[in-house]
Amino acid sequence: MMPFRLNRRTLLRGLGGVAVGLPWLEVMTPHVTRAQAAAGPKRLVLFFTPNGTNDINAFVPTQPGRNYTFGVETAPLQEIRDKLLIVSGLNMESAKADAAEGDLHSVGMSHMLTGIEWVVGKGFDKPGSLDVGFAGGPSIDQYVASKIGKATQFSSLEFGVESVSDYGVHPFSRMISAGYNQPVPPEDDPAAMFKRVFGNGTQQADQQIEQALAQRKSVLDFVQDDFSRLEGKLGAHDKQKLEQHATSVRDLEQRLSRTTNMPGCVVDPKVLTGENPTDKLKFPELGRQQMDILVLALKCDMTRVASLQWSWARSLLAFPWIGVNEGHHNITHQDASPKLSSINAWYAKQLVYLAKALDAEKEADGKSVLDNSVVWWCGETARGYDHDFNNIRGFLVGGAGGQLKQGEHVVMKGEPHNKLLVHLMNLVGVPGDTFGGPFGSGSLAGINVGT
Amino acid sequence: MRIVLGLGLMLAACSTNAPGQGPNGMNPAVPGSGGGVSDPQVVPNGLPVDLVSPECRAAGAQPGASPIRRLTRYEYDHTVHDLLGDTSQPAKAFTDEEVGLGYTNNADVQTVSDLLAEQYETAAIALATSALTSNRAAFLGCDPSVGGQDACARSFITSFGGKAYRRALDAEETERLFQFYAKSTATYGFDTGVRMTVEAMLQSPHFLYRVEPTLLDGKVQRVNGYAAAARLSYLLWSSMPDDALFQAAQSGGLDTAAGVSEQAQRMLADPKINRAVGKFFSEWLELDTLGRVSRDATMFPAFNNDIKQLMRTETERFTTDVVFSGAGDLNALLLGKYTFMNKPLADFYGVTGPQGDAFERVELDTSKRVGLLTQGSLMAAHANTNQTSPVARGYFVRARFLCTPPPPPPKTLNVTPPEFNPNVSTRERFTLHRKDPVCASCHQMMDPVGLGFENFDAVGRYRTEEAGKPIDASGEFFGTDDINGPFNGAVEMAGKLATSAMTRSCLVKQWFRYGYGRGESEMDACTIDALGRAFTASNGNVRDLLMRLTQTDAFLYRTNETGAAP
Repeated sequence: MMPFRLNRRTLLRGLGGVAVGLPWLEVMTPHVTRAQAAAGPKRLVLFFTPNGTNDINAFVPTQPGRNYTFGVETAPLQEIRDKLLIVSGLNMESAKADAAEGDLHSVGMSHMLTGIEWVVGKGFDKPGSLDVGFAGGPSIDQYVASKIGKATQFSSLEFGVESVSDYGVHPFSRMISAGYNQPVPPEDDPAAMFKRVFGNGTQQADQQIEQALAQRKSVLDFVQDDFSRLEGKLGAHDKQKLEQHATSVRDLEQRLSRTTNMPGCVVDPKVLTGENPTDKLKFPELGRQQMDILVLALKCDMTRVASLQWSWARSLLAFPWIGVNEGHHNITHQDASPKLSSINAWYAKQLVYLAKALDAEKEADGKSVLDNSVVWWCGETARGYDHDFNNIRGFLVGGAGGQLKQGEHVVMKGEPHNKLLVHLMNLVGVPGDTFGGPFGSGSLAGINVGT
Repeated sequence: MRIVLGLGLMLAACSTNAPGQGPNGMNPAVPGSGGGVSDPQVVPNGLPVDLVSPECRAAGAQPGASPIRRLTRYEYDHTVHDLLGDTSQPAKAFTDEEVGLGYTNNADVQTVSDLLAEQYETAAIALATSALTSNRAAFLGCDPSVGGQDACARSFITSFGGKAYRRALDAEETERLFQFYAKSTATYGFDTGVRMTVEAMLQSPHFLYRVEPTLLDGKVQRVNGYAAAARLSYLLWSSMPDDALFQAAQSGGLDTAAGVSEQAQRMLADPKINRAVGKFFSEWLELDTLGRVSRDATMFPAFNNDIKQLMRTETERFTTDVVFSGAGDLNALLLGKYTFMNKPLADFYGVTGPQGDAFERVELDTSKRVGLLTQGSLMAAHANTNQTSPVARGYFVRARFLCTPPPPPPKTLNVTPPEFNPNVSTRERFTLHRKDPVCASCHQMMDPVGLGFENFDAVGRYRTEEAGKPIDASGEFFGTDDINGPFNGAVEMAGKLATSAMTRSCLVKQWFRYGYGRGESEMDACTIDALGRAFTASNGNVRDLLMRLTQTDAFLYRTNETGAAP
């Protein structure tokens, strides 16, 4: 398939429309609105890698300020140093408050993006079993998406790289949450993701497009009515479950009425290289494809909120492509391990790849997509061997449109990570003073330019 | 009154309910909503009178929670197969289910994301389009050019809708669907109008969920005939009811426990039973985990996806054979002296056996292997990338066979397993777990069980030495009700498990969780108790247990949990 430009007819196919092959009819001309020329949209990207480090000093620089030296595990970030802000000294207080109750990777996963007490006793043996608790509230990206997501075709996009655990979908496989006990799955298959977001370039006549859209909206409208008629006949819990489903159906219908903000944006399906999305030996290739699609999705303004989940918390993945044949999680429970350093440095290189790809895309305001974004490299635990929730990972790439300091390491004094969550939402234009549970309010001091 | 049941872990509350919570205040010893129950020997939970505890007999029907259940991917694919003849398995592209208590059908963790809603739409469009293009006349069941389009549409909506929603449609919803068809047809033509109507039905909550009429006041009620039919079909066939079930539902044939039992017996004899039983074993034994694990390829180059699939097939063939052709009981699952292999698998295990690719029954050397537990699938699924894992194997036995999973390590503990060292045996590397008293309190529940499997390497092959030393496969059960004490090797371990009331009780609980799509609660104590007594009385017969699952309060009755939404 050739590179193609986005327009309604290509997008429709991606949304599951009826494919009718017609000749290429027209190429829409990119247009730039005044607002876009003034400033590119702010974007939030979450970049997750699991299992923490065993040596904080190998991960986080010891010196504050601008003249810091990278530890061995983050040394690859030197390449994007001037786009990077390191915030250390944040504690995941909400996770610590819950930590007595279950597998600590799951605890971290359910708290990292929500900062709120997790769910206990829904589908799990009891507190203390290995897999208690999906998140107890919305994750920061979903909250942000609920506020700014209507501006784009997709309010958010969730990318995964082999995110389903060896044991299936447990709390340690889910970091994104739409609300209490509503884990949100990432899409692990790059081909499905590409098609979902961009379609496959099949062209249809205008009339057919409008017709297919109208039919789908009509069907979804009927379905929503089905839901609302039924809800009154159900008990409270069942009703709530169906309401969540109905909300997704409504959002889908609304999405059909939105057009892309960037018609004419060219996407190239050659980013897809066809690997089986569960092939563990293809993990690097699958991740590269997902990053390429993520970059295209941001560049073409299909969404302003995205996440990329590499593997799963407590991941057992081996990394034979860098000579590590042992499972990741096992390695974290060995003392100072060069193998773990290799894994974290490999993940750092992936972050560099993503950052540079985002930086290569220039926007109408002259900045790069990266410059207008904030990418948080997050993790479910700071230190792997004892699952410490103090001094969690706070690597922020991009500057969110020049708002954040860059090239600097700012040391916090044990502030709750909820403040980082508040800070992130403020950076992308969502007001608010608190996020998650009662673990402090306000954003972080001293990390914005001029502070 | 509180009675202690089963493992001694669950406090039952069989008679704490207020009087009158039984259906219509009826004598709970006579289930059924319509009069004329003709089998006075059968009491709630479908057991002969002497097998139900007096407390439970007096307590009335206690169905426990009845959360609404959404079709799993597995059920969706079987349902569209049975509904439309569609074999495309569209749900394979749906996002993976969240797992609760080890099962993908756990209602408490079922959620619908934007992604899944979109996938439902995509599948509905494809299914409806395909159904109308592949065999339009048969699908419609009428010829619109003969009796008229609208008449054909009405009959189609009634018949197809009834199957898709698994019950007779009421007049109002039939009319709504017809009006939707009519409006769509006026704009787009007949075929598109029908297609859109089918798309709507396939995305309706009445199709995607198993909706059961419920009293909103929290009173206990019998599930109605159609709901009972769907409970039966999804429990036993992982799919929608067939015509005979619909017929029985319509004619009141499922209003009595005896009527439900009669249908269950018929269904147990249908090949479709393999779908549900196969799915149970796959999830109980965590066979999907086998498909996902990997091994250090430098140490175990022969352990590839093909071998994993063959191991899975071995376990599937064995469990199916035991349940449907063999003794059918727990003893046979644990102690069966045979298995199934083909040549590649036999070669991998290093045994002589079948000479071709077809799986054949193979008699085991019972000094080495016996029953399920020593099969490659279970041994390989629970091991580390480069060595066995006594912890993972012990945990697996505690969680899945004894239903007593130990808690995770305390937060303050530096949980650092021993580094692999080819010169030291696994048993030696894990001694710290038993020396340090903090570790030992939990690890003695797991490690000494898992060490009993040391004759099986990380990919499930039998071995007699490690690191140049003979294997020591001595193990011990701690913290059980009735099998504490030492054993030597997995064969003896299986023998101990086979004698344990905990194992029987656990298998009952596992079937409860899978069969009813939820965890057991205090209100289920009598159901669990009755199933346990029946299972014991049948000498652990799985087919019998399946039938009994259709006779419990949890199956025959429902109640609407009235707790406030969180």
